[in-house]
Amino acid sequence: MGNIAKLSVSAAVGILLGIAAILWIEPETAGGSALLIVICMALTIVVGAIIKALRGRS
Amino acid sequence: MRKLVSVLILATMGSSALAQDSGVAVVGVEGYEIPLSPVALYRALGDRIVSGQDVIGNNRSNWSQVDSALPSSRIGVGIATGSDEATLLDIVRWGCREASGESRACMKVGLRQDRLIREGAEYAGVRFDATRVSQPVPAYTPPPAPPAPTYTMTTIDTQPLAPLSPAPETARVMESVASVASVVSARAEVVASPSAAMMVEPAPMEAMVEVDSDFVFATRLFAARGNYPPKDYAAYGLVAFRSQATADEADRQRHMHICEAFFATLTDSGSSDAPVTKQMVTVWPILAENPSRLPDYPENLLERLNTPVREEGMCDLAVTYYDLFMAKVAIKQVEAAQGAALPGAGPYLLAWSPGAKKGQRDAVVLVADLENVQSAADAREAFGIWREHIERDATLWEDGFTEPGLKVKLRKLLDRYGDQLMKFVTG
Repeated sequence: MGNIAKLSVSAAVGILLGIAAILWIEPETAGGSALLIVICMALTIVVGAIIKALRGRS
Repeated sequence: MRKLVSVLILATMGSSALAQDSGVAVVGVEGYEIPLSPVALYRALGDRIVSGQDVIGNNRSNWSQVDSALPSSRIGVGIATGSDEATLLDIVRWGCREASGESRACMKVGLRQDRLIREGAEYAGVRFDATRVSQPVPAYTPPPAPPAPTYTMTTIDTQPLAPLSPAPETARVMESVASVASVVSARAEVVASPSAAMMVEPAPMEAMVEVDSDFVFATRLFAARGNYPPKDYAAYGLVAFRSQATADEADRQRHMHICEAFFATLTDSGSSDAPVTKQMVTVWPILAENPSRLPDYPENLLERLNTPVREEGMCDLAVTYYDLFMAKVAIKQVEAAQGAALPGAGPYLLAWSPGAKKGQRDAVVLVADLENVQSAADAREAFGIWREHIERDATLWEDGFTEPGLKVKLRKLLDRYGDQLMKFVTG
């Protein structure tokens, strides 16, 4: 359950990052905007997982 | 960072304001004058453009669209204290009425405040980009007695400029200063009499053809197969029709209007002093000489078409010998790069950057749809926007990771793959 919560925190950060990226890049299609959010979410989830793994080691 | 050229423009408005021209003259620091008509003034300073039933905000920043002899950089108009802004507005509205014939809508036109600088604002160091002066302009002759308020126009430069020395209140002084890239420069200060400004010795014309390294120039080229893509150009564009002109008079006229606008709006590539690496060339594809298939092919057709001045019958030839195959190839290449069919019936203005990347999928492609272009005015406006877009967004055409360029490339990628993904997901 804790893992899912952390995942959703990462995903929420990804969505916010995606929205910021949409404002900067200004895609012209809905598909472009959706893809950008998906990419940002994936990125933050991966980064979150890496950080978690690094913390677990130390 | 993109440098913006500055220009000093001095405008006098007197009792002649309601005569044939607007009474507003643009004067370069070299001392020559370009009079502005009320229509030109309206297009430059009106805060909205009236076109039929449509009223759109005016965001033109290229003065070269208003008058091809003017530089493309942004220009502001400085209004001296005590002068009558209302008179300027009257002339702008008059120009609007002349241009659109819509008296009522023109009454709502105001002045672009972003271009107005009240006296007291710091005036910029200035430089006249005279590469666009296609012919020598007669030297300015001071008006006999300008009774009306004085306006001073100057470019709005994003670069920090050297502070000006205090100016005497009753005299306008110009002095030459050293400039970057040997372009003629001068510094201007605000004063009362425009005639005093004209006492400056005009600079020799040959000194005015230096080109700032940061500019990109939109040029035109008539080229046959084998001559393109011109690899060295900053970017490469093409006028792409979906069909040849038919015998139908309206259809042929439309082709002719687009050709005439192509001639009128873009400068001839060969006559431009800008290096090809700083030119964004738009090509009108022409059929190659082929005596067996085209026995009536005009002699030296390309040489005749690639001139700075349009002569009678040129567009007729350009339309008749238009190379439809090259246009189809270009359209297919753009569609492949975008991952989607070009909408509408065209014609299109297509551009790749850099020129050598034409046809490659990772190239930055710019598309302008001219489907709605029917009249000569429509065509001129469309080409004007095209030129402005190219010249203003010079960074778009540069290599490397410039922020605007990166943004555009990311946008194109996201739009292409995002749409494909959406289609896949939604079935």
